[in-house]
Parts: sequence; C-alpha cells; structure tokens
Amino acid sequence: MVAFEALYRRHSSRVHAICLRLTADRLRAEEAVQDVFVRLWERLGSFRGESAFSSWLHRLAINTVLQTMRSTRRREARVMTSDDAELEDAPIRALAVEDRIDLEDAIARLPQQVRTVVVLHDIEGFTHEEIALMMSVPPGTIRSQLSRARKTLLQWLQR
Amino acid sequence: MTHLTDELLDTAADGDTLAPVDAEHLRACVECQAKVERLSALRGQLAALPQTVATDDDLWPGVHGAIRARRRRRLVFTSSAGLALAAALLIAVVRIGNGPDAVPGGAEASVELAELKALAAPVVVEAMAASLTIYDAALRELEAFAASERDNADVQQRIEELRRKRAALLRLVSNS
Repeated sequence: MVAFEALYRRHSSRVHAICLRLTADRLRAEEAVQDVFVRLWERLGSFRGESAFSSWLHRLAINTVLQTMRSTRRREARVMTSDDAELEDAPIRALAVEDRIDLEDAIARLPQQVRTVVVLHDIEGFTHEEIALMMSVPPGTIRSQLSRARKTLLQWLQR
Repeated sequence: MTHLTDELLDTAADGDTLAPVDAEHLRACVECQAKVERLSALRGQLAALPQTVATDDDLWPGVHGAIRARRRRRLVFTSSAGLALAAALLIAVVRIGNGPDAVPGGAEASVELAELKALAAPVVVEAMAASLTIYDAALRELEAFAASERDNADVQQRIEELRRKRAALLRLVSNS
C-alpha cells in the first residue's frame, strides 16, 4: 500500500484537475478522484504498458467520470419532467453585464455535455473521434457541441 | 457574401484542412479571418490552463479506506467462492462414484439461485449454480437408486449427507 500511496501522491493533482473540470463541482470531483484511484487499484494488473502510465490513468479518470455522469443522468431522467430534459439543448443562458468571469469559471458554467467536449478536446487534446467513442455519440455531434462551447466562451469572455 | 459556418471556422482554428472553396473564402474574407483568430486565441488559452490543481484536503485517507473495504469484501467473496467450488468438486467425485450421468437441476434450484443472485457476488453465484446443479443431480440419482434398494442403509446415509451439505452451501453464501 506504500507504493500505491506514492502513485496516488504523484498523480492525484492531475487526476483531480481532470475530474474538477469535467464535473464542475468540488465535492463531485473529490468523489470522482476517490473512485478513480479505487478503480486504479483494482485494475493495475491490466496495465500492459502499451501507452504511458499517465495516459492510461487519465483515460481511466475520464471514463470513470463519464460513467458516473451517465448513471446520474439515467437516475435523474426517471424523475425529470420533459421541460427539464430539454435544458441540455436549450440556448445557453446569457450572462448579465456585471458578470465578469475568467476562463475556468466560464468552462464550469457550460452545460455538462458541452463542457465535457471542450475539456476533452481543447484541454486534454483528444480528437473528435476519440471523444465520440468515449461519449457514445456521433463525431458530428461532438463537432457541433464544440463549436457551441467555443462560441459561448468567447461571448462570455469578451464582456 | 456567405461566410463560413461556425463549424468551418472551428475547423480552420484547429488547423484542419478546409475544402478548397472554403479555404478560398477564408483567404479573401477579413471577417472570417478575425473570427478564426479569436477562436485560435481561445484554443491557446484553453491549452495553457494548468494541468494540475492544488487542493486543501488530502483525499488519500478516503481512497485508502475505500480500498481496504473492497479488499475485505473481496476476501469474503473469494473464500466463499472457493468453498463453494471445493464443495462442487467433492460432490462431483461422489456423483462419479455413484452412477451414470445425471439430469440437469430443477425448478427448486432455480428459485434458490434467483434468491442468491440478490445476495451474492456474480463469482459466488456462478460457483453456487455449478455446485447446486451437481448436488441436485447427484441427489436425484441416489433417490432413484434408493427406490429400488429400500434396505440399503448406505444409500440413505449418503442422501442425508448430500442434503446436509447442500443446505450448508446455501447457508454459507446467504451469510457471506
């Protein structure tokens, strides 16, 4: 366990950054970090060294967060009204003139799906196709969500 | 003039290749060039964000605790599954020593297995399914044999022994 703790200490701040940007919620991010390292402990044996360990771990972190988001969405969908369900595709709320925000705040304010795409593409460097596979949606959807995210971010940041 | 769509502007900002007609438009259109520049600058800002975050809380105790809890659970399930498999092997030896191939498990075993699935880990259920099928088949064989050998005390004793072991196996998983 000492070796695993060393592994945790070495990689946790990077995993935390991924989880925090994807969830945009401090508590959820902390839960996600814990889940990621528990999974890592269970799956260390399946790491075959085909990629860098850090890339493998980051992919594991992203998959863990996406899986949790999917479960949460499924759970919430059972109690959601149809109006709520349309929120994700609704126009993104404009900010008031006095709302000056920095880039991290702006990313956190994006709707979940759109935020996930911009984090994975523009910050983590995955391709449209890779993100499409991770999120189980067509690459065309990823392109349009990315475009929507960037346009919104520019609008918010140019205030 | 028709300007490039948002997605084409993104394509250009990402440095991907545009169709010749779109590339031609971009070369000639100052408005689209300005948009691409803004998008490229945003991309640069996003890529330059810190790759790590500093946190006040140390999450290691939580991670460590969760792993220890999993280890304990796994230990219980693994030992239960091991015992179930050992029992299955034991009964298989008994069955082989007692006669021809057995018939598959019946409705009674299915109901018990359905109950077990709600209680136990998949690996245990799988081992239990195999064990129960063998127990039930061996019991049916022995009971059929006992019907024609009513005075054979040895067979009756074996039947009772098998029933006890079968019940013990079910209790083992229910309590795990």
